[in-house]
Amino acid sequence: MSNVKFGLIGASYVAASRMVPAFQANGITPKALFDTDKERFQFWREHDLDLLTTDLDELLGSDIDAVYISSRNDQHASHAIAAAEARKHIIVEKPMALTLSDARTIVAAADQAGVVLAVNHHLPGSPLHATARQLVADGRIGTLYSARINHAVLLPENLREWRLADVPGGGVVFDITVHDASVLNPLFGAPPVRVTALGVSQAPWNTAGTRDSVMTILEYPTGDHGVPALAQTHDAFTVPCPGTSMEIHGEKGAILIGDAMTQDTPGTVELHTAAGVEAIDVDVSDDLYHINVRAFAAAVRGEGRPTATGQDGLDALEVALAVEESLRSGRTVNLTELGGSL
Amino acid sequence: MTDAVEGGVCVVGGLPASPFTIGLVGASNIAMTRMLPAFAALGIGVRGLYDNEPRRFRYWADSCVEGQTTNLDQLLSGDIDAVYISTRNDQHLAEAVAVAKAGKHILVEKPMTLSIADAQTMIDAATHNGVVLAVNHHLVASPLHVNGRQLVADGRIGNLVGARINNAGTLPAHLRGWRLSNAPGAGVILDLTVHDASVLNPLFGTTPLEITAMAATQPAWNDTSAADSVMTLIRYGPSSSGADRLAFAHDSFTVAAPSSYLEILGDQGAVIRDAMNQDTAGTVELHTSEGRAPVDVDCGDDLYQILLRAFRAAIHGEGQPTVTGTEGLLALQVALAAEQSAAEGRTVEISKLQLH
Repeated sequence: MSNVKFGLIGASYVAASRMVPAFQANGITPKALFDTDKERFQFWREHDLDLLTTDLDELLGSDIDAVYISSRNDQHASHAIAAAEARKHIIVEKPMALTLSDARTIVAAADQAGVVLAVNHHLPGSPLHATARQLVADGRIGTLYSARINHAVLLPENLREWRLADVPGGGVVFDITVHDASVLNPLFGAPPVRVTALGVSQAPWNTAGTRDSVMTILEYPTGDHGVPALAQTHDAFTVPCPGTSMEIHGEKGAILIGDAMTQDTPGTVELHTAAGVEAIDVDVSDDLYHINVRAFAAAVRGEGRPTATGQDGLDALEVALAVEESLRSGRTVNLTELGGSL
Repeated sequence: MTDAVEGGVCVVGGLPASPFTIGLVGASNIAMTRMLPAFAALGIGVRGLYDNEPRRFRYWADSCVEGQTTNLDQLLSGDIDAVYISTRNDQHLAEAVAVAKAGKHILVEKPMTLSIADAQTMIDAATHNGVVLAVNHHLVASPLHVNGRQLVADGRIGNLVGARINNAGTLPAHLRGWRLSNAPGAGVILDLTVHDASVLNPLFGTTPLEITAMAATQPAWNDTSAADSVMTLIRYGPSSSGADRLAFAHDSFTVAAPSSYLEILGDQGAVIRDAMNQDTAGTVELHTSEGRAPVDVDCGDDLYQILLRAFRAAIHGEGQPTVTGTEGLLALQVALAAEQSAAEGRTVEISKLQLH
C-alpha cells in the first residue's frame, strides 16, 4: 500500500521543525500547505511543496489522504471538522481544542467520517513512559499509589509570544499541563476524578500577567485493587533547573524517569525497590514525533491505534480545563461536573 | 535544681555545659529513641517520666529514667528546669499549660496542638509565666536546610520562585499505632506536612497565603479513616521582586519511594537530598546553567542535639529556640489548612482559617 499523503494545516514552527522531518523519516513528503496568513509561507519556500494556499477547501480537495493540523489552538476544531467531512485522516496538535464541546465534536466528526483521529501528544509514545507503564503492568512496584511530574522549565525567549498571551489557550496550563495529563491518564488507566490547583504569574518578562507557574493535584479513580491514587504536577515557564522528571510510586517500589518530559533528551528510567536501584535499559534512539507518525500511518492502514487517540486527547484537555476552573474558582473540581459547559 | 547548683559547671565529654535537668511528659518512642540519647550527649539530666497510661512504662524498664508517675503534678513538683512533652497530640495543650504554670520551660513535640486557638493559648501561657517555649521541629536547624536558606540569602539561587518537597515513604510497621487511628491528630498531615511547613516557611520568609490539598487512604494495612497519603500546594506571598511563589509537598506513609528531597527553584536551583530524614547525612547540590556542583555541608551534628543546645541557650537568655511557639503555630496553620482543604474540597485562605 502506498504511503499516506499529507497536507499541512498551519505553517507553524512545530510543523517545520518537528513534523516535516518526522514525515520524511517515515517516507512521507507533505505536498500541500494551508495557512490563513500567506506571510508565513515565506519560511516554507525550501520545502518543495506543490501547493501553498490560503483556501482550506483547495487543500482538502488536493491529492491527500490525511492532514496535520497545527494552526492556532482556537482554529483546530473548525479545521479538523472540515478535514473529517472531506474524509481525511487527522493528526491535530495538542491541545486538540479549547472547549470540551469542540473536542467532542471533533471526535464525533472523525467517527462519523470513518477517519483516524490522532492528537499529537509526543510523550505517551515515548519509550521512557511506555517502559514505565510496562513496569507497573508487570507488578514491579506493586500497587500503584502516586506519581509526581516536575515539568517546570524556562520558556525560551523566542517562544514568549502566544504562550503567554491573555487569550483562549494562552498560559502554562494549555501548553504543559495537558502533556502531564497525556502521560498520567494512561499510567493510571483512566482520567482523574478531580483536580485542584494553584497558579501564579512570576516572570518579569511575562507582561501579559498570565499564569506562568501552576501546581496541580489530581485524584485518580479506584482501580482493580480498590485504592484511589494521587498525582502532583508542577508546570512552569519560569524554572531553568533542575530539569524535568517523573516519579511513579507503588507499595513495593518506585520508578524514576529522568528528563521525562522533554522533546529531545534521551532520558533515563530507574527502578527503586527493596533490592536496590536498577537502571532499566531503554532504547531512546527513536524521535518521539517519528513514533507518532509511524503509529498514525499504521492506524490509517488499519493496523493498531494512534499513540494518542481523539479520546485520549479529549481526556487530557478535560484535565487542563478542570485545572483552569479550579484556578478560577478556588475549588477542587470534579471532572464529572464539567459537562459540556466548558 | 537551678538554685541548688547555680554557678556550677559540670563537664561532659570534655566540654563545659550548664547543669540542666528535664522531666519527660509522655513515655513515647521518640522520647526513648531520639531524645534520651540527645539529652545524654549534652549532659542534660533526665528526672521523672509521666504518662497517663502506666502500661507504657514497661518499655522504659531499662532506660535508667527514674520517677515514673501517672501524676503530672508530681513530675512538675520535682527538681527540674524544663519538660519535654511527647504525649498524644491532643494532650499537649493541657500539659504545656500546667508546665508553664509550674514555671518550667517547655519543649513540645510537633504538632504543638491540634488547633490555632490552642497553639495561641499555649504561647500565651508560656509568655505569661516567663518560660521558654520551643517546638521540636527537628528539620529547621538541620545543616542541610540552614545551607539551603543561606544559598537563597546569598543570591546563589537568584530570585526564589518555588520549592518542591518529597516526603513520601513507607511508615515502618512498629509506628503504625496512633498515627493511623481514628484519634484526634492522627494521619499523615499532622505528622509530616507540618514538618514540610516548618522548613518551607523560613525558606520563603513570607506568609503562606493559601493552601489546597488532597488526601487518600491507600494500603490494606490502614483500616482507619486517617489519611496516609496527602499532596499539598501552598502559595507564598511575594518576594522582593513582587511575585507570589508556589510550593508543593507530597507526604505519604504508603509508598516505597526513594529518598526524600527538597528542591529550591529560582534562576538557579538547589536540590537537597535526604532532606526530610531524622538521621541520614544528606547532600546539597547547586544546579546552574553550567551544570551541577555539590555544596559542602557538615552533617556531623545530631538534629535533636542542635535543637536542645538552642533551647538550653534560650533558657539561659541567649538567643531564641530553633522553632519558637509562634513558628510552631505558623507550621501548624499550614497543616490545618491542608486538612480543611482536603475535607472541604476547596482552596483555604490562611487568613480565614478556622481557629478551633
